[in-house]
Amino acid sequence: MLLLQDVVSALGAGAVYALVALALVIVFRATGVVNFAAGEIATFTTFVAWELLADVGLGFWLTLVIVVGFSALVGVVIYLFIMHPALKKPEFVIVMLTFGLFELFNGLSNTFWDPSPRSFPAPVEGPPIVIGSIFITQESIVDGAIAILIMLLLMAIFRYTKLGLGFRATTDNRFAAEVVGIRPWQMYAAGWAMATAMGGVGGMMLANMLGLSASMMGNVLVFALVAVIIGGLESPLGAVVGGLLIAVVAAVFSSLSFIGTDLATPLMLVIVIIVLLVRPSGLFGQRKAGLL
Amino acid sequence: MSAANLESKSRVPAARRTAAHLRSVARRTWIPATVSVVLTLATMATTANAGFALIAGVVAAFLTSRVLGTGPQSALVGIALAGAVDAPFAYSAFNLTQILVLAIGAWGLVILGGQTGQISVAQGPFVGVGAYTTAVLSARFGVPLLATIPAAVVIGAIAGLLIGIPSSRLRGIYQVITTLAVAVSFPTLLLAIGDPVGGSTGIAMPEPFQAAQVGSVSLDPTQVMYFFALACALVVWVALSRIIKSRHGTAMRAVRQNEVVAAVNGISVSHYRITSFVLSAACAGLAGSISAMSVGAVSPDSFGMLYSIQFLVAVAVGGADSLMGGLLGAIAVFWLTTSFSGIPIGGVQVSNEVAYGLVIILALVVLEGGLWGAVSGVVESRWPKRAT
Repeated sequence: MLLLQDVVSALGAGAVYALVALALVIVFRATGVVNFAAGEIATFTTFVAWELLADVGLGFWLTLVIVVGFSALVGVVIYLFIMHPALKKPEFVIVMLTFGLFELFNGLSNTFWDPSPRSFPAPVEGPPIVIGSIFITQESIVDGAIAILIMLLLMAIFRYTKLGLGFRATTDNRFAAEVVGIRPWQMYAAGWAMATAMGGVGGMMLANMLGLSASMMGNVLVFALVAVIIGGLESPLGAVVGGLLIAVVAAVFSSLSFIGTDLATPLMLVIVIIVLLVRPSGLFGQRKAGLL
Repeated sequence: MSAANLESKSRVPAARRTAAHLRSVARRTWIPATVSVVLTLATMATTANAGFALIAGVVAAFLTSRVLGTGPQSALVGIALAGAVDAPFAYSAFNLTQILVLAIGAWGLVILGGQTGQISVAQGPFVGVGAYTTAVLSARFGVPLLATIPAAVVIGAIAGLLIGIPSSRLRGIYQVITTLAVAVSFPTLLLAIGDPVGGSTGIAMPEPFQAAQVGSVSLDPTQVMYFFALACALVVWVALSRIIKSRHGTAMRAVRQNEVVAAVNGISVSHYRITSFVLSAACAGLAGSISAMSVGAVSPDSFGMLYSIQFLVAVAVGGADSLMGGLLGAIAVFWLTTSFSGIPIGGVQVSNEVAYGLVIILALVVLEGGLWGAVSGVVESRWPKRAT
């Protein structure tokens, strides 16, 4: 029963992992870049959200909307001014650019805000819900629901809007898309905007669950990467399933006495390496990955 | 018939003479460096003035290379070595040792990235393996500190083999993620092992060297440590530059440029990818051992992802193609990560990480081939290599 409680509690974090993993997949599909700075950018925008909530005194939902817009703007600026000019450069340069962004945003968070953890307001307040012997806090339900809603919204954008069609067309066949008048850079910028916006939402949800600190996203990025590898770098559905799965696996590992919290992360990373070697395209991916 | 014969007869000895001349020049290139180092040290020992010593070294390197006709590159090497020998008398020897640690680790990545085209975020953990080998052997088993160095190199190489076999099969971003996984789990792994490696507090060690007196110059322990690290770095430099120039180096670059063509020409791609991983981790092991000795302590948090990124930044900013690039990058990274403790802009103390991140991004966008790529581009255009 204790295990079941751990698993249910983990699903809230799993929704955030899924959200960040989905953001990674969107950016990778669009521009072939794995954004290692995704977590740090999200931390920065979450600090901005905290500023709006605590100092300016805005409501939670208004802040959420503003942060989505602000994060999207950050994503567009990063894409247009840093990533777009570098897309034709070697992979090493692109990887290092995302590490540079990692340091930059981590530095910005540390510059303007004290790095020690602080509590982040919840979207709703209320007593936890009890089902049998399992406790679920209302905030974790709302946090998870917001993450899932954002993901559904995104899927809807991809499937039913003109922007989504253009995005899918560009990632599928760039030249054909250009022929019919789609400008790829607009689509890629939109992809980055969506991804950083999702990161912003994920950051707010996570800050509510774990407390806001400059190093908050360190593990989330690792878990999201694990999720993405398990689900496949090319597959949005795989990212979501992988994110939820990895949270549950981590909770189970941590609760087993012979593994414990210390070994849970290394063990999952061993799983990643095995998945990469055995099935590099992930559980849901189709395209052959970089294994020769 | 006879005319053709005559021509070919006269050509062969001429070609041989040119080749012999080139070889003799190549053999003499080490002389300016040696003369300049000896003169710098001698001037230092007699006058105890770092400025005089540097001038003596620079002049010696310049004149010797001019007289022997060994070219501007050998003069540059001489000047650089004179500077390296002279530096601990003008700057903090401890900081200079840390730069050498960064440089030796970055040279490993030059072999890995610049030669075979692999990207590893696991350099930090490999340095950690070396550092912990030295710390555990000396603190738990009473092995003399200097005697732990070979063990640190070998165990670093073994760690490189263990990680290199799986991760060298992966390409590009997949290799980055795998090695990143190693970097993230290394500190937690050390915590999980617990007591034998000192847990979260780590292990402390005594100082490896005592103060020394050379001529009129007295060296404190950190300066002796620096000269020891410098000697190690020189050995690594010579060994790696020989490997880069050898057939092995050519094969590694062939693997980087086109794996299929390399394989068709009988070069075993996986063999060269794995050996370069091992070589790179062995460099890291040595760097770690030196780092542990000079700092006097190891702790798990210092060898994670951010440390790995420092080595990657060193080769990215300095230039991944050459050892010189790794050295320049190491200097740049050390300067960027330590010299700014908050830059005041408009009443806000901006974290030095902001400058660090901005410089990384700018260097990658502006410089093609890193700092050394830019410098050697200027040198080549001003003093083009002539056939002698």
